[in-house]
Amino acid sequence: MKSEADLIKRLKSTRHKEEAFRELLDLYQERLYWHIRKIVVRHEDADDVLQNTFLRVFKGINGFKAESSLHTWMYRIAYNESIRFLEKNRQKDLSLLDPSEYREALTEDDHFDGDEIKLKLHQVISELSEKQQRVFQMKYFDDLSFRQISELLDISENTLKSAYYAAVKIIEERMISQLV
Amino acid sequence: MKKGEKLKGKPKDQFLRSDDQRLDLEHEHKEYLGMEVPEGYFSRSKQRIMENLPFEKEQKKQVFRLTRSLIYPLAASILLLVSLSVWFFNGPKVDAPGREKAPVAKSLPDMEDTGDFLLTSLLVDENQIDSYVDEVVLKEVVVKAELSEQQLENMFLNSLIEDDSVVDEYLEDNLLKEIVL
Repeated sequence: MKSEADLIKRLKSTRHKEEAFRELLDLYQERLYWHIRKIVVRHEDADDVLQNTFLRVFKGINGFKAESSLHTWMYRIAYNESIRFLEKNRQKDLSLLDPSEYREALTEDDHFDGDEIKLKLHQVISELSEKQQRVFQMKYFDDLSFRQISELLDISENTLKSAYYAAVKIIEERMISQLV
Repeated sequence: MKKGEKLKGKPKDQFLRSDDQRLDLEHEHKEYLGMEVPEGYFSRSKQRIMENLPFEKEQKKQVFRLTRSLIYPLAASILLLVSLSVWFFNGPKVDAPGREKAPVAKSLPDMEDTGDFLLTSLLVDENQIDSYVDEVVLKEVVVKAELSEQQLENMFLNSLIEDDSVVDEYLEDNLLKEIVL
């Protein structure tokens, strides 16, 4: 696999840009989609935000100075685009909704196949502290490493690990009882 | 996931999968969060994203953009051509054997009077046309070429003091304006 530096070089070149962008999509499209989806919830909205994210990446790539990793940079763009979308559509951050509003927002989505267990998990996650929520979602569902999350959130890896394992413990305790 | 149902590959008293038991992203999101994507979504999405990214516009912009690696050889070629033209027209004239040299007209009509080579040439006697053409070439082509060469040199000298980030644009604009056009 070619290095990230090589990919960045090709993304900036005129000749190899298109081919490099295909490669970029193969590497990050799905990850970014799920990251966005958990913020905006609805599939159609996540699709729009994903398109905008890659457009911003395209426009900004020539100015990318590699002070952070490419992955971290794109993740930040995806996050900012998601928040911008919510603000533009006057939607609340779902973590700020009360349980019934949250449930309603989820079940309105055509691509939500929810049952009580899944809805309960959403609720339990939303009741975690903000730090625990973010690190749990990024680590468990986005499959990021602690190092990557540390770079994104600017929090030490040790702090993140503590937050993550605390979140896992809370979720396990609250959800196991649902399955019994 | 139904109540009482055991998670695939997980002990009964464990809700989440450990790192080594994790399935792919799509599966995890569907199983735990109930979030689905339509069949074939990611390949269609990739295609749409690629179609919407303005690759052609950027490539077209680049076609007319003279890069540093192109502009110096191009400028050097123009300088060489101009120098050769100057040397050629200033060099010793060799008369063809048997050709009678037409007497140079005492005064040739000044092009500035008429402003047009073709019109002016109508005012010149036939036996003076060769001398007239030589003078026109000297004035209109060689002198102007020398001026362009000077302009090109000035442009490059000026480009040295331009900020590096805008020098390409500066060179491109000036080359097109001063020399090509």
